[in-house]
Amino acid sequence: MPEAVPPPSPIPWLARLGRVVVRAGKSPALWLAAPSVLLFMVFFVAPLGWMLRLSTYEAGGKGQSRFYQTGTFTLARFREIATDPYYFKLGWITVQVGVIITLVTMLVALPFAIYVYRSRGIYKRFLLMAVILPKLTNLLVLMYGVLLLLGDTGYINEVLLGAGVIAQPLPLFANLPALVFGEVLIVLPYPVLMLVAAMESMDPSLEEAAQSLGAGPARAFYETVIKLMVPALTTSTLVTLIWGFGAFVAPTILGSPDYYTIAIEVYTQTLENVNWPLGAALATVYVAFVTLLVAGGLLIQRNAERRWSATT
Amino acid sequence: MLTLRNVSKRFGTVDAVVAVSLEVQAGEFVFLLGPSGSGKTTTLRMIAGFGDPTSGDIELAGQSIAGVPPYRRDIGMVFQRYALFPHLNVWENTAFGLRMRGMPERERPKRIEETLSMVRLGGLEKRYPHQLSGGQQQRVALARALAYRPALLLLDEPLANLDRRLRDEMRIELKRIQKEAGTTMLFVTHDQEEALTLGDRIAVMHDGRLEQVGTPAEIYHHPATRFVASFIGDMNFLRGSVLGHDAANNASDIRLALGGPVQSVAGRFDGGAKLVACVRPERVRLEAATKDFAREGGGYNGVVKYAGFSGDSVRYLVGMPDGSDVLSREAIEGTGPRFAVGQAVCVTWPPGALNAFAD
Amino acid sequence: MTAAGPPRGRPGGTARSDARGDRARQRNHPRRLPGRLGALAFKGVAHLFGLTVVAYLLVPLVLAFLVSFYPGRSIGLPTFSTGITAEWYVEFLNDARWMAGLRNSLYVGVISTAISLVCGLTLALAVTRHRLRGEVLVATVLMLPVFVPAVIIGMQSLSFSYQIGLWGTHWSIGIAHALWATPLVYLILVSGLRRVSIELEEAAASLGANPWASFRMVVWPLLVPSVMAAAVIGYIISLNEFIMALFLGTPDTQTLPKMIWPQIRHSVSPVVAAASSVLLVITVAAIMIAGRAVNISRAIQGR
Repeated sequence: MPEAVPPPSPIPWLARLGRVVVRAGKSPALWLAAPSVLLFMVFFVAPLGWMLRLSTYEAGGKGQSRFYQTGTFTLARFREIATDPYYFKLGWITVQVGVIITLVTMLVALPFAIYVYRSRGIYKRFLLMAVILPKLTNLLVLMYGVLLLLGDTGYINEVLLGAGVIAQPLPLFANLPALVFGEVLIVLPYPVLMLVAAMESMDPSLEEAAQSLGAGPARAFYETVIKLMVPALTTSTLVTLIWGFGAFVAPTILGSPDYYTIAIEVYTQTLENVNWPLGAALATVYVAFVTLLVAGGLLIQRNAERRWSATT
Repeated sequence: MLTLRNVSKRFGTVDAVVAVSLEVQAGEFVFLLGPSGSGKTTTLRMIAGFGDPTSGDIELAGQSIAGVPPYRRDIGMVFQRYALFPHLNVWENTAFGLRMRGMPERERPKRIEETLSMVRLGGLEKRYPHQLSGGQQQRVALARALAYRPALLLLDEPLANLDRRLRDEMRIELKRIQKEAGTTMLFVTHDQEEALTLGDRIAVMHDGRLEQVGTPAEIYHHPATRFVASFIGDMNFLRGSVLGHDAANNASDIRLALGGPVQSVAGRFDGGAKLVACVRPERVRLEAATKDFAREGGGYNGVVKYAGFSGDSVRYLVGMPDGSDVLSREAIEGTGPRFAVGQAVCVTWPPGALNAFAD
Repeated sequence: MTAAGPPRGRPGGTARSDARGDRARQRNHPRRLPGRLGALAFKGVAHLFGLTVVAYLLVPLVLAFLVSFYPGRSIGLPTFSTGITAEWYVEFLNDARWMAGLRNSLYVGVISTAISLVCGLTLALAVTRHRLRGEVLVATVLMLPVFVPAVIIGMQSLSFSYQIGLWGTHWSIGIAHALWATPLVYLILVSGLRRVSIELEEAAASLGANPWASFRMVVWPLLVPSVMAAAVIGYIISLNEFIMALFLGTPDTQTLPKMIWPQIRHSVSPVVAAASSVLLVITVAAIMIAGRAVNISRAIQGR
């Protein structure tokens, strides 16, 4: 008597999917991962998708549809962004500000990371604490402190006025340098910690080996530590760049409207003008831009690593 | 007590263990000996329950334990890096197994004290693992696994992390504890000295297969395979060919490539076949070479290339006319080696000292 | 043959004089005096640089903290002549609205920490103990929200929570904060779990402990320092997070940072300094308590 054979499934891939799902259901790993997946999918991916849809609505009127008009679809927002020179200027300013912030940050971060790496004991722990503390405190408190330092009645001006060096308070804020001063403070901990971590993970005897082969201290350091840090450098620069492009608090408090960034524009449109579709469209453009940036950065990094390791 | 029947384990395309069959009697101290990658640890872990065999069966105390998780097997295990619980002190570590296996609380202190004094750790009950020396940690690991008197104790190279002197001490301790507790023990190691000195029986493994199982003397004097012969101790290997076989004594006559008289080896080999004969260095005797080169009794002439003094014995390396070397080891009589480098000697061995394997 | 050969010496000996090495050494340390001075000067500059950066990092916080003690309606720094006062803190603690803001902050922090602990712990367990594949992928994907600017997350969370009716609740803010806190909690817990070697769990199993007993009695006690550190970090992140709270907060649920925001932009009253300092003090205190507790439990375990 032939074995009973189940009739072929009308949709074979559905059957296969069903089997995968059943097998997945037995795996403890997937059950354990479920909460995080849920959190991520429902509260990050879904809102992202919703925001995309939101950007295609007509702007709201009054009453029930004050945020946006339901049931509409339009690409007018994107057309606005693409054609209005205001947005082009906005993007250009954001890019400039971001690049400047990144340059300044990396110029400070690399030497400082080396400095921290070279320290020992209690002093080193103190340095690491000092780096992390701004990250653990409120951005507003931080900017407030900077304002206290740079403002017209701020500490610097008080000291200089009191010492009679100047007659009028120096305009030390509401301009680009103040903005950079503040934003770098916010962003600096990330590359410093990443670079220190990269250096710590290296074999300390590499430098000694280089010196034993005849390289002076500086040269040995360059040949071993710096060259091995290139991937970490590119990663931290990329990270800083992303944070720089998203600058919000520092430009608002320490900058001037001349230097308002995309992030600020999103805030303005969403919360002040209550033009949700426009805010969503801007946010979408921004996310697309950053994604391209990251993808490009990773490609460059991979290429650079290949060429770098080929020549050294 | 423990029976492995044709146990195999395959990881993907790699056969880690192939058709291993072994029987361990109650109260025996058995060693799984082999180089790294021989499958001995994999086998041990299968007996413990960390990983099921791909095929074959494992029986403990007459019952199959295939598929039974480790926490339901009547075993104890001592790990290579001890795996002591850092947040529990010596007492609590030792008590852990008793708690898990449901010994009533009032009975535990007595058992714990007994076990700790058996491993000579009395007085250290309140200490934490990080406050103990390597040897002490080792004893706690042992006590912890022995506390509930498992049917079988598994030891995974427990002495590998100790320095030489500590290792020697612990070996003696282990043997004593095993006899005192009467527990069946299965010990995995790559150190043949350990196996030869402590084991009641040794199972030699190589490339996932069991090469030979026997007492230390059997393994040493009558290696069953070429691998066992070369892995255990030092061994001289000499090429030869079979002349014929002596059915009455289950022996074969061979002539060595070195030439000389006919030698006899145990075992039946086909006439004309090539084989490799082997003899232990301590059975090789050196005599001063005489002008008479065809000595009765099967000696071979050579020249001493190297004479090494090892305190209580001396090792000679003798170069033979066909380019090969023969190693000889003898106890020192008097103050120094009998022969010097460059001296002509005659190499002999007693009848029956040769074992042979097919080439 | 398995016989060891006699040791062989190298012909010619090894006592050749190292003239070339000597010359190389002289090239790298040409003359001693300027070399040493140069090294010292370099060290001095390095320390100057380092301390400047440290000052840059810490001075704003110190100033913000000190200002809260200035006795005067305007903003200023207390000096020996002006003295210090705690009246702004008193005013802060007595103001019902500020207190509501503080309560909201604390409550949202609890929500965020709870969510990130649950998600982070389960995921860390899946990755370290249950061989969830693609660990790098998991870590990267989890870190995505960290790289999206808070403004975007705030914006999308606002519109989404409005859609699903979560708008105006503490939960909407807590969940958004959890998006940022979970990756960090996950990383801390993964590293903590890795430090509890699998052998310990195998030993527990060999002693008769089933998986639940093994987790409860071996893994969890050893994990507690990491869990505490992760919880504190998660809580601090939520406490101080401002941008998402700005978007998602309503007058009923606004957190302390959101209340400080308009004050800083437009009119700065000394009570704002007190409010900011309260956040700072809570943060520092939490870190210190957690650090102390972590050290204690580490010492107990002898690590």
